[in-house]
Amino acid sequence: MTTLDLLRAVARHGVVGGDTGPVSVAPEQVATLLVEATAHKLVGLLDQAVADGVVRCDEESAVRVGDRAVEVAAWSVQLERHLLVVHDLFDDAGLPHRFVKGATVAHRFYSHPGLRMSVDVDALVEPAELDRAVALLVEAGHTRQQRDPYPGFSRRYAKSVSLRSAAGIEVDLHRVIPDGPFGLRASPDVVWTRPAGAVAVGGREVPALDPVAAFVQACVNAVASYDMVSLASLRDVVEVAAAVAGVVPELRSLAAAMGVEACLAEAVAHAVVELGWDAPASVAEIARWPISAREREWLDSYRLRPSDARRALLGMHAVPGLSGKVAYLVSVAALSTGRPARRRAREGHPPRRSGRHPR
Amino acid sequence: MHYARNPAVLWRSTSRGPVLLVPGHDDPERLGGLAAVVWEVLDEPLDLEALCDEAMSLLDHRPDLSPCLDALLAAGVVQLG
Repeated sequence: MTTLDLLRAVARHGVVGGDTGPVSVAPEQVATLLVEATAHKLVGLLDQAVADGVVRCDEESAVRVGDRAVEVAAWSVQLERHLLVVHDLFDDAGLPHRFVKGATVAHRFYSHPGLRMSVDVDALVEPAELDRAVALLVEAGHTRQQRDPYPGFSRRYAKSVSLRSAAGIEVDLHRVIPDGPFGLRASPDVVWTRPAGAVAVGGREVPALDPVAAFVQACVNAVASYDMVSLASLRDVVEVAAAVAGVVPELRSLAAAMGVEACLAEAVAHAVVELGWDAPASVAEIARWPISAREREWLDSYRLRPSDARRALLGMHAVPGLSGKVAYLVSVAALSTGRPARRRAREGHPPRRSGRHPR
Repeated sequence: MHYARNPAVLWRSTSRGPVLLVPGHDDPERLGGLAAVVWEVLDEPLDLEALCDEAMSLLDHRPDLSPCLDALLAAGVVQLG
């Protein structure tokens, strides 16, 4: 059995319809399995699968998996401590924010948060507040990972801005939920018209996306990101779906307003195939929502990792209105002349993280 | 009197025991032995009698939890209410 097959069995463990019986891991496979489980953010689930006998291995291998799970857990709680620091910073400054992914999914939608591994802190801020949010974090000792190619570029076109704390914790400030063309297609304001959800972290409530928006985010993250798509992101789709199976019309309304119905259809279809998920009927229906030829091209582009020029062209198609397209092309063209400018252009995009290490 | 987890403690369960980050501590630590058992059974507040009953269901004997609870109280891991 290949490492990917093993990981797929781990990702399926506990999914309705997903379990396919025990799988065995040879001692010589464990090192590779741990590296790939880290890349796919599945260490917690792997630890659980070994404890449940779904993944069978010798005692020494089981201890190695458990030790890795302890390391990942230690990193996760340090991330949560930092999440609370970021929350206090923004709250004191009166800056609206919603935490996304990571702890907000682990605590609310998984049977216990140890099953869902995190690598950084993610917060969504309103585009108009992005520069202020960055300034607050820089003032608090964070270092911005990419310079703005020119003032206002990130606020208008970037998916997110990454910063790093002195302790090495990455904080991603998201302007929009989808990367690439889907992120340029619709106004990011839609999600801010919804009331915030809340999640308890360390006995305190912090703002998060409400479950409907969290499901949209989980689906988008699974299929519309230039970062490596992990099996855990598909597992998120399954876990969050349990909370929204009764409100699919509301889901569709939000997805339509955000221009990401195709992402939901693609993500649910992938989760069903990859994880063997027997989705609730109302959710399974989402996989049959139509995907246009252009949306198919966009969805495929996330996997094919196109050049910056190709990404710019796809983005131009997505930006609404002629004046918007012209402004976008002028911005991108201004970045693509000369070597330093090309470097700055690359820096204007979120990094393609390998996701192979939790820190 | 009931024992309860300190809600300000950040934690994760693992097969090797819970990993905790206690407020005021720099680094996370993994609980083992009786401390791990106490943390796991305190997913809701319990008095000493009920706590010992729950712990016994996980162990083969009825443990003397007093020294362990004193240490967890002193460390800010659990609290009395």
